[in-house]
This record gives sequence, structure tokens and C-alpha cells, in this order.
Amino acid sequence: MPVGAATRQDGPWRNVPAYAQIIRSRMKTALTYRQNAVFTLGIVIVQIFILSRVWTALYGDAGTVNGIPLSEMLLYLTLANLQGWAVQDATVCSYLWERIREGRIAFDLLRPAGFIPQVIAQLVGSALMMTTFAVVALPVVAIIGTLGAPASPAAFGLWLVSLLCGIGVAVMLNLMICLSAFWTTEINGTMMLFSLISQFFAGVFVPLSYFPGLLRTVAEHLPFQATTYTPVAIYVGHLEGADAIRAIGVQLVWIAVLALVARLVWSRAQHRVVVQGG
Amino acid sequence: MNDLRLTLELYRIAIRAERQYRLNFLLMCVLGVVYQCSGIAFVWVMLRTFDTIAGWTFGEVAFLYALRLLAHAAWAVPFHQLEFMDGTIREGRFDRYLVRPLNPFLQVITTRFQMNVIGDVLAAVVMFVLAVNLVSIDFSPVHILYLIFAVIGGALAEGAAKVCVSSLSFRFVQTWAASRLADSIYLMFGSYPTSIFGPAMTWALTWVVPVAVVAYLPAGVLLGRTGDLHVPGAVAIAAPLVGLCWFLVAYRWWRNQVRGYQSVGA
Repeated sequence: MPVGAATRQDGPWRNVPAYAQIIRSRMKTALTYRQNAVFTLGIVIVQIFILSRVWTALYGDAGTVNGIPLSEMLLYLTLANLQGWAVQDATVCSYLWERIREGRIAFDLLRPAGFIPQVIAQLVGSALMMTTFAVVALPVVAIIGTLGAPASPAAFGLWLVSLLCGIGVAVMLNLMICLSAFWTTEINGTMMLFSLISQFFAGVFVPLSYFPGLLRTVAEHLPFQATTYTPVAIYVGHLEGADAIRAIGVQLVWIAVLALVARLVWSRAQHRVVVQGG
Repeated sequence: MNDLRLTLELYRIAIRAERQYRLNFLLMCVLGVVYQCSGIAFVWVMLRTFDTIAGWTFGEVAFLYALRLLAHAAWAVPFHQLEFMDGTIREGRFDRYLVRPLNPFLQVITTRFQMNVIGDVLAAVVMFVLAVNLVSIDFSPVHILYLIFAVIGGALAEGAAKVCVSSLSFRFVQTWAASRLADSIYLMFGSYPTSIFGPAMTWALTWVVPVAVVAYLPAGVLLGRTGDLHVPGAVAIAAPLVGLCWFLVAYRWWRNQVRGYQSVGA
């Protein structure tokens, strides 16, 4: 009897231990290369500082603009930047791109676990570790930026749900970028462009409620707002009650839509795999 | 003179090598434009609700922003390769530069040519044309001459920081993190009227890390706002000179650090 056979079960959950292992390894990798995270986190903290100064200067003597007090705005910006950073790790895509370029992707394809779930497990592992880093950095963030309690206990509960959904949407979006590596020979440019556009439309610099007319309509129909704006707006109390629940519904719809698109993209990508060398 | 001819020839070769990859070339250009314009999109969205920031209108901030982009592009086109010097040293290629009869600094900056720099130039020119239409500056020959000096001075001020960072690679294996930090500081702090960061930061951004001299002070001079700057008018006008001084100091430091270079060995 083979060694592994005793623990191996059948059924739809048989690969779960494998995925858990991938998540664990990815978290370990992120921990090993933590100086990269510390460094990009440093940039985010500088960004929080600058945005806080810019918005304070904009508010000037006006205490409340568009129904949002300055303190609430600063809390929004701090959380949005931190959270936007935690779901924006490019290392998984770089790693996959390298494997595709060097042909080592063949081993991933040969494994009994599906390729897409493997990538998702990698992305989840990285998102979990980045979130942990973000939590560890909270004391520093509190000094530079603004931290505060959620708008209400209900807002806190909804925020937790929405945060998980937001990570889900971000993972699916990152998956798309990873899959694009099957078509392009260079991925750094795509990743940088993606991170800029997604940050802007996720409301990291300006909450969506400030976007003018057409731009707001565009932003509301893109998936990026579901990654950051929705959870943070729920936390600070911009989105409440039925609006908040509807927004979480939109997040779930985006996860489903992006999963379908990923399936479609993957079925085409499979045919593009060319493993170089023997 | 011979050095100049050689340097130009090396640039020509580097650009020719890069033109082999057309799609990447195009993508990198687009990236440069989007990256450099994303900041101003943020300012535009905000100043639709608020009329001014620290007393500056959108047109004036756009002018400041465009001036910074021009200075950045003027730095990046000839010198951006400096950022990758840590790789050159790590792989032992710097030894070659030391035995060739041309200043190693000039050889480093002509190693390759990253095409996203062209995007930086495009973004700067487009932004500048747009911004000039939003503000009322009557460009006399003196203004134009000052503008040219301001761009060169700004380029040298940003360059001073980059030269210092690259000199670190003679001692440390990897410097990309420090180099990205320097980039972010110039991009993020340099794009707004410096006064919003408070008196202590404004002082530091003028005299410790020369960020305010890149665009804030010259833009204040050109827009006729010398009255509400944090330094006397004469100092604001002399901002390009501050950039030049910093660069000369940084370059001397770099040449000094070359002596600390140790080859990675065979």
C-alpha cells in the first residue's frame, strides 16, 4: 500500500489538505521575504500621512463637507490605504510568471489538484499574511494616520463580512492578472498599471462619493470598489443598513462573475501553454 | 569632447537594442503616462468639491505638477539607469567600467534605455501644455529663461537624491527599496504646495531633502505668488541654484564612494 493512501479520501474535498498546504507555504514565503512587505508598507504609511495632510488642507476651516466630518474622512483614508495595500500583493503573479516563462508550470499542471484552485490558494495565503502584517503595523499607523472605532456594533459586524468579500474580489482580480501571464512575456508593466488603476477606482485616494458624475458611474460599475471602498465605507458609517447589505450583495455578485470569467480565460489559456525545453 | 561623443554613441546603441521589443515599448510608454498622470486625476477630483488647496487653484496645482513632471523627465532621460546600478555591481559588470577609458558614471547611465522614460516625457509635455492654458502667465523671454533654469535645477535636485541612493550600492547588495522610497518621496511630496505639510516638514523638504526646490518654489515665482511662500522671494528665485549645488555635492560623494567598491570576485 502506498504511504499516502491511508490519508487520501475521495469526493469533492479530497484536495483540501493540498490547498491548505499551499496556503501555509505561501504565508511562510511572505514571512521569509518580510523586508519587501515592510518596505511597501512604509510607502503606504507615507501615503497615509500625505493624504491626511492634503485632506486637512482641503477641509480648511470647514468642519463638515458633503455630510462627512474631517475626522471621519481621515479614518476612511487610513483604513482604505492600509486595506488596499493588504490585498495588493504582486509576488504571486511574479512567481507564476517566472514559472510559466521557465516552463516549470508543467509541474503545477500535472498535480491532481486543479491549477486555478492552486493559484487561488496562493493568493489567499498571501492576502492572509499581508493582513497579518497590516495588523502588526497598526500602532505605527495610529501615530501617523487616524484610527478609530467603527460607526456602530452593527457596522463592525457587516464590516467583517464585507472585508472577507473584499479580499475575495481582490483575489479574483489578482487571478486575472496572473492568468494574463500566459499571453504576455512581460508582466511588471501590467501589474503596475493594474495596481494604479485599481487603487484609484477602489477609492483609496478619494472616496467614491466624491467622484464627479460620469466618473462615479464608471467606478460603481467596476469591480475595484468592491475590494476596498465597500468595507471601509461600511466601517465608518457611509453605508448603513439596507445600503450596506446591498453593497455586500454586489461584492458576492462580483466574486461569482469574476469566477466565471476566470473559468473562461483558463479554458483558453490551457491551449497556450508551451513548455520550453525537455 | 571625446567623452561626449562616446556617451552619445552609447545612448544610440542602448535605444536601438530596446526598439527590438515593440509591444513592450508601447506598453511601457502607456505605463509612464498613466503613472505620471494618476496623481493629477486625484487633485482634479478633489478640487471639483473644494475650490483651492492651501490657496492654490486647480490650474496652479496643475502647473506645479507639470513643472515637477518636466524636471523629473529632464532627469530621467539621461540618468535613469543609475537606479539599476546595484544589479551591475552585483553581477560584477562594474569592473569593466573601471578599466575602460571613460568616466564610470557616464558608462553606468548608458548601460540600457528603459522605454517608459519616453512615457514620462510625453506625460510631462501634455500636462504642461494643459496646465499653461489654465493659469495666466504672460511668458516674457525672462520667464521662459527662468522656466528652463527651473527645469534643469529641479532635475538636478531630484538627481542629487538618486545619485546618493545609487552610491549606496557600492556598499550594499540591493538598493531598489531605497531607490523606490526616494522616487515616492519626490512624487508624493513634490506634487502639492509644500506648505500643506506643516512648518517642520516644509523646512525639511526645502533644506534637508531638496523637494520644494523642484517645483513648489519655482512655480510660486512664475505664478507671482512669492508673497505667500515660506522663504524670501530672492531665495525662491535662486531655487534652481540650490538644485545645482546639491547635485555637485552628491556627484563628488558618488566619485568618492567608487573607491569603496569591491568587486564581487570571480
